[in-house]
Amino acid sequence: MIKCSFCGTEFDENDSVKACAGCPMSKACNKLKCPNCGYEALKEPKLIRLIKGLFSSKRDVQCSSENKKKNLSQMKSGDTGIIQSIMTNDSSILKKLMCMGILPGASLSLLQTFPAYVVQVGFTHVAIDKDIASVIIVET
Amino acid sequence: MSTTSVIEYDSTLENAISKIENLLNGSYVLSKRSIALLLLQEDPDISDKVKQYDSENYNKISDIVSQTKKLYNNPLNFIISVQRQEKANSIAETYVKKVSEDKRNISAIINKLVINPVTGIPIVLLVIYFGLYKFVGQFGAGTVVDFLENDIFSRYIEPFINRIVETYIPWSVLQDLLAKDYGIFTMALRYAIAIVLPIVGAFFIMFSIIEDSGYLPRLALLVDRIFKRIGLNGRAVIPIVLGFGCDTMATMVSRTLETKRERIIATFLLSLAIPCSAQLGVILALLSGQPLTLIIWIICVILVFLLIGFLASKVLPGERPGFYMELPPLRLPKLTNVLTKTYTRMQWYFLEILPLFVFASILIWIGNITGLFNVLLDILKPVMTFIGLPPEAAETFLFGFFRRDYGAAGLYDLQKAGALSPRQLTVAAVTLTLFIPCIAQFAMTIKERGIKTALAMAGFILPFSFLSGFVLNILLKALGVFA
Repeated sequence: MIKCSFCGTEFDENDSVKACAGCPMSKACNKLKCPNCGYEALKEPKLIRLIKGLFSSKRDVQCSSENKKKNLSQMKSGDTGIIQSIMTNDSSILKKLMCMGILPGASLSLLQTFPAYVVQVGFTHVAIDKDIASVIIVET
Repeated sequence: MSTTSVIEYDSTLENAISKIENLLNGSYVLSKRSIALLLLQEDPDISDKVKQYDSENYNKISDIVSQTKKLYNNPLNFIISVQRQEKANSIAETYVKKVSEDKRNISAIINKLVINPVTGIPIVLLVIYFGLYKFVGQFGAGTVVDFLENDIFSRYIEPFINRIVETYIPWSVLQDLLAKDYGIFTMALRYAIAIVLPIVGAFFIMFSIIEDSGYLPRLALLVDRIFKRIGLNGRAVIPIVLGFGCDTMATMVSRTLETKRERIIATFLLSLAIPCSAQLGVILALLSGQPLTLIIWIICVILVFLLIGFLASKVLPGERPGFYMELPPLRLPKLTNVLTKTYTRMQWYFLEILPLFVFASILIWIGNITGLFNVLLDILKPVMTFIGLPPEAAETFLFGFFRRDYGAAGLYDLQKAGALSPRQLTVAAVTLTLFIPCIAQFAMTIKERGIKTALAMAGFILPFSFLSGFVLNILLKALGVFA
């Protein structure tokens, strides 16, 4: 989670990519755009993130054991879970997932994450990209 | 209606359904309950029907729909499918017996190897090498074409037709139409049957095998990230791969893509950088003698494909739709299926191209007797010199205008006569590949994308292909590649 220093909205890095949709640079710049107000902040340098990661890894583990809900793009391959909800109002995405039988209550296992997410729901294997994977909320 | 087959939805939905049912008076083919459910899911066709048959109640009905919608966080069609899925699950639970699958069966292992990029990409290259290069290029365009061309057509059929025509038709103008160098029987039929058909047939056999094995969706998964860069997504792999068989067919298939933007980019790339199998076969046969020319040709075409795709995706506005695709189980293709598919595709192709070949022959004949052709050739000759080719290549390009593979086949003749150096061969192959595929593909583009888009594409592709040939020629000369 990142907090916008201008308007105070908390947002995910994935949401910020959506705000960049109209920009020809897309992800190639080194900035994060707040989806609420459009304010652009610099990304944290990788080194700092790495150091932060080293110190906060313990706390993260505690967090995740308390909170078992994850979106699919945060899961690792081999993980399994039950689909809790589909977090989007985009009816075209809902329709696609519906057709594939990716619905709340179904049990899901993640087989692969790169170059695309491959999930098994029931007896069906489905490949989806990160954008769609990030709206599927899974309880592990 | 038996009540056991009805799905019981939650009370809010059932309430809304019965209210709508009471308001429906018109006579419909479907039951009132189905109509009510479809109205709640906002099916556009059914809404129109109800507006027509129950116009006095339509406003009340749409009020009920919008009130019901407000009670849920998700769209109603989603809510309804969730409840249907629950019912389906409970039925399946009762009646389906699950046999625990052996995880290490062979199809699961192959599946894993194919979708993992580390092993998947080498597999793609292997498929291309054996399927496209060995089977289509060397067997189809080499062995089979040689046999049909040299052993059958040149030795028996052509002299036979020439003799008949010379004996029975006294006018040399008409003789030229039917036989001799550009005649309907000696050129159109020879190109169609002896050169193009075996190559296209070989490609379609391979494509049917790949298609039936369930490999294409997995290929789509692998290339999704690259295709996103050029404004498409993994789903576009099907029209693009089919384009290696026949660009005309692929242009038609590109209508399966989701957005208009994707369809335009896919059509554009098909017209520009994807060589069809007839052309691919001839080019592979031409260039495989000198591996370096082949490598340069491959690099040029891939570079143009990615670069122009990338630029097109930046220029064309619009959002990119997400990638989703079901991966069907991998299966061993059935021989009968493969053969039937190949047969129907070859039949479609043959019926589509043969009239065009004959038409091209007639056009060339008319062009020759009126002298129009010589004028056009004179215009093209300086362009040929400009990109470093011998003036005789003008003929190939002019015919290539009618069909790209026709042009490539002409190149084949030119090469056999020993008129081209390796550098010229490379330049000619690249330029011909980038050229608009053929008159049929252009017609299909007009039909599918509209005349304005089609003309804009042609307006870019024509100068671009010659310019690329020019630049490539200078580069090759300056670097002394074929010195």
